[in-house]
Amino acid sequence: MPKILVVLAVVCGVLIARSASGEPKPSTNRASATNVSPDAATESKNSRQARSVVEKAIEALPLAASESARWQRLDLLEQELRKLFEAEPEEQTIGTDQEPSAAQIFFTFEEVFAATREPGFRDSPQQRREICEGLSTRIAFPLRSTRPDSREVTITWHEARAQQVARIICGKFPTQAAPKK
Amino acid sequence: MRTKSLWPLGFSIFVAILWSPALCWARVTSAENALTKSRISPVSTNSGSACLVGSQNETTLSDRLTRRGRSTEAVDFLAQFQNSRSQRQLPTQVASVESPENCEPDVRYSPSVPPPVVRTLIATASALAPQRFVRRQCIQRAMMRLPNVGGVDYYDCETDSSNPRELRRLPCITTEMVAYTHFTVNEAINCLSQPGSPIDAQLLFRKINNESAFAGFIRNQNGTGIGQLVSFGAREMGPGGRGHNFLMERMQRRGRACDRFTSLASRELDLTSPNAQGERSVRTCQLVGMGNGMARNMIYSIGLFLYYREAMPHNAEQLLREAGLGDHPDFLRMRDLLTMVAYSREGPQGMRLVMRQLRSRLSPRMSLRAFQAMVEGQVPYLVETQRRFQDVFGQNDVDCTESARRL
Repeated sequence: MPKILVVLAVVCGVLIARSASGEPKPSTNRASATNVSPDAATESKNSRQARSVVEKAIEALPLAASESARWQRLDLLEQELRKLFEAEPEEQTIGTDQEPSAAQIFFTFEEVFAATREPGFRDSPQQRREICEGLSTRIAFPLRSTRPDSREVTITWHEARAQQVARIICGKFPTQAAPKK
Repeated sequence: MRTKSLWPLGFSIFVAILWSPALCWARVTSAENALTKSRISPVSTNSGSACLVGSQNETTLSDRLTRRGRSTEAVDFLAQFQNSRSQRQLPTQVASVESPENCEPDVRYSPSVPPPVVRTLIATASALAPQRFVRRQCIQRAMMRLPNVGGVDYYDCETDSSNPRELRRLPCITTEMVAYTHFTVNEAINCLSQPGSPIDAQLLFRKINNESAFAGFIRNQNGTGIGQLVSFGAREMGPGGRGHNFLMERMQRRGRACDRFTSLASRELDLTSPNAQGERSVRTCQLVGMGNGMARNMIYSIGLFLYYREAMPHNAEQLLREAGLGDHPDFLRMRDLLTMVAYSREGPQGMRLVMRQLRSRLSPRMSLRAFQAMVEGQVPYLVETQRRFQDVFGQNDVDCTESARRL
């Protein structure tokens, strides 16, 4: 009996010493305990950065001194978003409506970037008007839910922001109100 | 020696082929049982035609189908239906059951057949296999669930250039309406299918059942008509749209099989004047009604599906090949499944997102079922489509295809 007590005391002592020194217990998975895996951390960083890049561009684009400065700013936005999307781990591609992944943001904005590269978009207001017509719908396609009997139409963070950017570059361009954060 | 070593392989293929009619028979029996279980009692109307479902007093749509001698340009597709055998071969018994005939050999899961042989067999079979079509009885069963589809408005269009007239009640659905829908759907399939690039009639049935329950006269905020097209989709396939050339080329390749759709598909779309937000929509009657509207809707809907599948940048076929699934024995089914993702919340780019998300888990050796489970896990639209199918047939996996059009 005393021998058992001694063994128990030694085991307890070792465990206490290890926990005091900060060494992880063998049975505890740190990632799952905190619910943040290294990949998820990267994803959230990429996604957050992509959102911040978009918000900054939305502030900067209307203030551009000239049209060419505006196109430069837009090209820069494309480069930044592409970089963040490419650096994002593939398994973190799908985010949420209000916290989209960098990939979701980039794919949605691709519609805007592609429109600005159409012949005449940057030089001819007439051409731009024609290209812009329907762009809003294309950005937010499909404005339909998965339920045919549902009338509720929601718009995601990235769709609303892409429409906002399109409105800035197209002039008087229709957009739906961006959802509040 | 060489011949001897091939003997077990040949034998196993022979056995598989021999067994498939028996398996098919079992499937046919189960499908027939499922279809016969709920025989429909028709409700007579004053005009003589029977309402399968819907209001007996709202016969505007069914009357349009039975009125003959109207072959103006605006209703030309309907005139073709009236002159076709389809109209004269209406089933005398409501919800009568014909035997499904899906008796193709299924050797994919026979363990003794080496994968390269299976791949060659499947590729050859799919290139040679005749296109299958949607069964009339299944369309009828799908339309029977219309009273349970809420939140939609019903419209009547005299021509595709007229203004839509809203109907207050679910119109009387007659066997003529079922026959016209069957005619339109299968004519569109016949026009757009090609050897080696078939249209999966079963998948198409599931999709349209989910979208509109085959009602070519409905509209809601989510879409319009039989394919629940949105203006964006219609404009993509109409003249000037990004998918229009693809559609027209495909139709030209099929020659006379597309005669009934050529003028419809190439006609400029009439748009509304811009709304408060500056958006213009395709006028409703071009996509709705018992005439050209339903026909245009169907050809554009299937065309859009094929465009997403094979032609648009980052299409389903390309994405699967990039993921190393191009030689998979179930490539064609995987391709269709992935194309369905384009109808989810994220739109066509949803296909890219899903494939990127799953890339590390995809393998050329994975089964179709595993692929399907993974994709369904990401896309509620696919689960919804399955649920709607179950609304019609319960848990039975009914085969809604037939080998030849009965037109």
